[in-house]
Amino acid sequence: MSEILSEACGLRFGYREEEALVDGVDFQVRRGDVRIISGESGKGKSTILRCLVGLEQPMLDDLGSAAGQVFLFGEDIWDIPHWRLQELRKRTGYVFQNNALISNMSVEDNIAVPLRYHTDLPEEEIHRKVQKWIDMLLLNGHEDKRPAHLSLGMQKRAAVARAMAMEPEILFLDEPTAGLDAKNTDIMLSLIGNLRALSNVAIVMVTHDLASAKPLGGRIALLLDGHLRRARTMEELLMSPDLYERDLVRETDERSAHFDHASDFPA
Amino acid sequence: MDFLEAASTLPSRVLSGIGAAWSRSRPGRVAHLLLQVLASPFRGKRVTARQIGEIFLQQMYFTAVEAVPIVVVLATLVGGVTLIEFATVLPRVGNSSFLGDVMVLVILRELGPLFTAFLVAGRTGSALATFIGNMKVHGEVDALESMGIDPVRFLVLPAVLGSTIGMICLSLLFTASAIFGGFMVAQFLAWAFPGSLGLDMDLASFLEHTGAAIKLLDVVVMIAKPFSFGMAIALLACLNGLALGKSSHEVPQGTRSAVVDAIVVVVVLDGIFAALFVLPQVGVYIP
Repeated sequence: MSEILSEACGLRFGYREEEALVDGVDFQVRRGDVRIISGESGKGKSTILRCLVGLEQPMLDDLGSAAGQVFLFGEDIWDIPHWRLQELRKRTGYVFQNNALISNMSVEDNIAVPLRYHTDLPEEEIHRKVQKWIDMLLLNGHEDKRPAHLSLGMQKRAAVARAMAMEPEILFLDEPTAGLDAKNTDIMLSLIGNLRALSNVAIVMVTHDLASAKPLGGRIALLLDGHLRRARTMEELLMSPDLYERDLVRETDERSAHFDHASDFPA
Repeated sequence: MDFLEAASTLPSRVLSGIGAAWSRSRPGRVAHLLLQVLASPFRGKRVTARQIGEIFLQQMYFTAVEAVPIVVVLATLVGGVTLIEFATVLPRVGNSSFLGDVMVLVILRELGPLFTAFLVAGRTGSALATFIGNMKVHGEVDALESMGIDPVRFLVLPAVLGSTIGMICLSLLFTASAIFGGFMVAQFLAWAFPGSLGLDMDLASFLEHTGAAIKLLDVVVMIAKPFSFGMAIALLACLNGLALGKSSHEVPQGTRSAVVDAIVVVVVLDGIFAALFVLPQVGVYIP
């Protein structure tokens, strides 16, 4: 059994004190895993992802302790000092739904930010590494542009490149295909597949659209009424006794026909 | 027993309540951010020029270099107006030979640092609050966090350093320009109304007069005031920027708060400096 990279145990979180958005979330990601968190919009998928990297403060229970536990590389992130959490985050990559590229920096500088901050590599080496990700994510010719001058698809690819710059062990993707047309969705999914094949990075992807998750394979955990169900494969969901799960996958199957050629995209 | 138990925990509960209220209050948050800024170079790996250099230089350039023309013009006018006022008043009270002392006192100790601080609060404070506020609203601060980058070290530390050093440079420039502006006005008045105001002196004697009026305490105040004003302005700008939520409409509110807070704090700090440095000189004892 491979090492657990990220884990949530009985996670309870809400933005208002009395009301939990997600409750009793148990979730595990091992090295090389692909995990998809899916469910309806606004139900807390992104919140779970934010909790997994400690971007949200813990909700306190009646006794004043954190409701649930979140582990990153085996350490309870709500029980360690902030500087230690920052150290752990160097081993993760995170792609935000709105990309969150630094607006006053070029694409190249955005990708170089973590390398310049965390490493003592010379500028030539940083440039070489950045160029590798620019090539891999099809951003050639756009290195000097600011994020605002890129299309949404390019912004998302630049965000993935930045997240991969430190060659993380686990990559968190928050709706990486939201707002993209079919062609750009294909490209994005193929590129993510390529990254995984090349680096064996574990992937946790949040999406409301199961069709876009299908090409990546992996196990799918459905978020329903604030509870995250056990992660299962698409086939297992299709055989599920639960009508909602079966319908969701069947509907996805019908809509995902056009994604089937995604894997044909050149590496 | 319950009463005794409650009574025994009362002091700790009162203290934790006071602590919680202090940490939520604005002065408490400023103090917390200041401590974070001071501690940030010593957490994790040592700070490198590459980590903070770009934002530091941007901040220095924006605060100090780009503001030079407006500071020189403003200071020359302020110096001229101040000299005209005192040149007309001092002869009436008997002696215009104190003009150099008065100029030093007013420009170097008060108007120089204060005017520069208001200018920096309006320019740098607002720009910095908007810059960090926009980053916060668009999730860029969260993105830094997610990459393991400390926003205090990456954004706030270089911004505070750049603004503070820039503020000291600008304040010195303001003082020099105002005193030189005062001399220019003196020259003009001496030419226009010969002998009427006792202002007909050459540059060498003017500088000698003014230089003789500058004491060690004035030099200390000349550095200490802009240092504290610059730090306060930058800290408040960063605090107001980082305090924003996720909505764009909060950015102008944060900017406004940054400027207003900075002006109020600068005036309060100026009062504290007066109490510490000036009042003891005239025999007022502060316990």
